[in-house]
Amino acid sequence: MTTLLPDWLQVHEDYAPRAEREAFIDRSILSFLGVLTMARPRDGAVEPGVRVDPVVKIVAGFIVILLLSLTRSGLFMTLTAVGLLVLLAGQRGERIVAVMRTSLVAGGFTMLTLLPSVLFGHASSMVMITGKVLISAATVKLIAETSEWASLTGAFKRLGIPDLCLLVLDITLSYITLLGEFALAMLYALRLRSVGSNAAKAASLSGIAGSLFLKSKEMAEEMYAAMECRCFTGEYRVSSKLRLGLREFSLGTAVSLLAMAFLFLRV
Amino acid sequence: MHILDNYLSPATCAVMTAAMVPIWTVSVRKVQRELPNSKIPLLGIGAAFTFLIMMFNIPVPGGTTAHAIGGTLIAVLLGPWAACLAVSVAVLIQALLFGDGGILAYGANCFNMAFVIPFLGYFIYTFFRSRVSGARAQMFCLGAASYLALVAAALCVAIEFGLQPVLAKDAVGLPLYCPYPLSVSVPAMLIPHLTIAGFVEAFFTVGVFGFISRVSPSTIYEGPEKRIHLVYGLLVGMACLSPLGLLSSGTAWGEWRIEQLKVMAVGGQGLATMPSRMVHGFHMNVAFPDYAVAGIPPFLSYVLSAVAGGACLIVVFKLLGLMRRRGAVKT
Repeated sequence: MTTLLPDWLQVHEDYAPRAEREAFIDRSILSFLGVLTMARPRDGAVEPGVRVDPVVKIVAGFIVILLLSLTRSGLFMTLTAVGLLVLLAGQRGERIVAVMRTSLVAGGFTMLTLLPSVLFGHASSMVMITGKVLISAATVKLIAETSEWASLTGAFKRLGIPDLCLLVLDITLSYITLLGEFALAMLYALRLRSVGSNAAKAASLSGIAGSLFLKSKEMAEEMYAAMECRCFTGEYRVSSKLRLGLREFSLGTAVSLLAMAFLFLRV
Repeated sequence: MHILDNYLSPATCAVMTAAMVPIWTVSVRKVQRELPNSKIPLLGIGAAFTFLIMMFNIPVPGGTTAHAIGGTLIAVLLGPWAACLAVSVAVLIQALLFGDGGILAYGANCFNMAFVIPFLGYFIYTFFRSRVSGARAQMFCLGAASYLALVAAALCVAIEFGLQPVLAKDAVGLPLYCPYPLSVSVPAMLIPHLTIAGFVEAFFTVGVFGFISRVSPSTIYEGPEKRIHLVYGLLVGMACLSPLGLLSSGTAWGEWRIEQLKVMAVGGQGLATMPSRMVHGFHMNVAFPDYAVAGIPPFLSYVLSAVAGGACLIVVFKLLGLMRRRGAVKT
């Protein structure tokens, strides 16, 4: 038995969907993917930078950024940059790329915004500020890249930050991943499930963000129930003490030398 | 909106962080009092939500995209105190883990994004919400509040930038940090925020709030019904802006001191003789001569003088009000 196709099904059609503005969806997806990549636990905790105690890393980083901000000496800036390069040299390729990318973006943006100041006769200020921004951004990114997100909570506890703030920070770090994955799934759905032309794609973003908020409320209730079940009252206890080994000592010495250089070059 | 390190002097960063400390302290206390323990996790998840809001790229005219900050939205959803803490944590994570915003400039970024936007947005919205009727009018108020709050935060950033050439200079007068004066930084910050970013913020806030109020209206924060004293907000704002007076050179016409009169040029020549009654007149030593306090920087002295002056006036008028009320009771 043969079945004939109806006439309307045999007509050749050239369906070309109208071009739509959906680049914003791709950009949003890329932003979320960037965050989720950063949030994933680091797998290769073997490089020297990763093993340094996070408290020592944070304090050292803060001192370097502060001295860099205070200095008026180009030589001090060069010394800091060399020290940072030495630390970077001990890291693996992907990490170096991540640090360089962040610092170059920050430095490039700064140079672009300060370029008109050359007309005011502030060329030296532009060079100095751009260099400082580049090194500061690289320092922060290096700390971030060589630290587990969870280890930061422990470091802040040892630095005397109140428990309520730690709880909020801890939950935020965990839920950025969970809520980020939820938002990403909705963005994929928005891109894939719009058949034909959909002029209201941009308007759907408010629905996605609204659903994200409602989901976050639901997750907060579930989390409180889980906290109660495990008798967690929001009080943090640090199990590990401050580790002061060879790496911490080396970093401390380097920062002390840098501080002395700062004082010497100031005179 | 995120200020990177080295755009602001460490002294400015310290002042901004010092300004944020009492705000954070009061926020923690208010949240602990207002929110039951079961709602505390919401703060962290609210911070994660705030962080992720900035990941949504919204199309704007010209083929590009922009992102909202969502400070006003978080404030109307969680309350301004909780929003302050949530945005502060989100800004900390952005600075620490993503290099978006400086570590030293953290206090300044929190002042602009975690204080100015949520509080101003929330108070403008609640002030006008009770004075209009209809859902559309209320949504318009919310949009306008988020727009104005974002523009106000941009203005704060511009003032922080614009004050740097005055506050931090080297020996030859070259700026050590942001080199742009207020005449450049204010239009540079305000024009994009007035024309694009403000509208993106307003549309996003109204869209998300509209969705949540339709789908789950019970989840929206219902703050205590309080009468908002607009005049107090205005006073605080004016006290914060008072150091702008330092930018002007010279003295207002007719407010010269004796030593200024001596060097003043009148028609191209200095004064030949000083008026004797002015030289030997009555002179009083005051607590804040020229709004200056010994031992602290001039801009802090200005703020301190403004706070002291404002507080004195409020005390005097409250005492006058009390006397009037007592007089009325007697009669």
